[in-house]
Amino acid sequence: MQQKFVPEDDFGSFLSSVQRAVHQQKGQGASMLIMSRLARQKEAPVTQMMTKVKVSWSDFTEGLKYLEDAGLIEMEDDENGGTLRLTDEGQHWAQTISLELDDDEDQG
Amino acid sequence: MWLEWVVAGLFGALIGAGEIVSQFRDEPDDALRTVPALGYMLFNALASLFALAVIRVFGWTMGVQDPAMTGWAQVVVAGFGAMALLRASIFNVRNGDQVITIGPSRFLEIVLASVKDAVDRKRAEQRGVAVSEIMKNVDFEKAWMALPAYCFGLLQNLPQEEQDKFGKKLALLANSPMSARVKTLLLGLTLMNLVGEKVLATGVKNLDEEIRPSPPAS
Repeated sequence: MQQKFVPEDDFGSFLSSVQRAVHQQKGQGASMLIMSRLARQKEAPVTQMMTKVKVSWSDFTEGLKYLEDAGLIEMEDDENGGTLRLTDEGQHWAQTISLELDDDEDQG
Repeated sequence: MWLEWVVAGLFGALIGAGEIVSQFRDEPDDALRTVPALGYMLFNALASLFALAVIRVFGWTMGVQDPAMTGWAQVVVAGFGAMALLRASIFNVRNGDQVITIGPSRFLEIVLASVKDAVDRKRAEQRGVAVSEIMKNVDFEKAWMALPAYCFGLLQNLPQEEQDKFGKKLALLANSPMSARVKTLLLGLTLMNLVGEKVLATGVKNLDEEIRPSPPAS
């Protein structure tokens, strides 16, 4: 009979939580599209971002939730339907991602 | 007595330093050595000295009868008093969903935000250079599980919530179509924010060949 893996300590629970997140994949595709877009413009209205990343509504909302949970973006509610902003760490990511975007633009 | 003035100034500077350290947990000593951070600590020190001067001018003894102890009671009250006064808000104004505090704390918030921006800009350069140096011989595919696990093992007391957040970022990197170079840099950057530059460098050094890119097949 197959036994379920039960982590015995924090170290084990970290490894299993990473494995879970890697295999979950829900929202991750849209997440990188949102991050790439935010790397160019730092903040954007949710409605504008939705039209730019061109994914389904459910993928988009999953992507936003994923990035919020990861601490890379924050969403501020306003009368225009909300604004997306990069957190401090999100800005560090965006700077690094923009290296690749710059390379792509140079080649393209 | 001059020593009391020095201690009052130090009191204020330490409170300012505490705020800077709480904002830059990864490398607090580097943040404290930047000019804006030193300016912020100096500002807090001057506020404590000003409070002590006011207390002495008005001759407040804080109810302490012993003349030798009165001076030190004044120092403690000046330190805490300046801290409380600078961080006080008189009332709040609501603008839509935003709550704006009015009072000395508003001024301090603005000063702290500008210090934070300046420190962050300065440290972004240092961090970029440090990450590319530390991670230059690291293969993302070999390191993305081993390196964080090793660094967290070294730290031992990283909160579970931080580990979960990190796990999500790691999964995002592992499944993303970005180049290996950018993934490696982001792995280093994210880890450095959590564990600091020294622990990251130690982790890379100790894992050495386990996480190095394989030599090209001849």
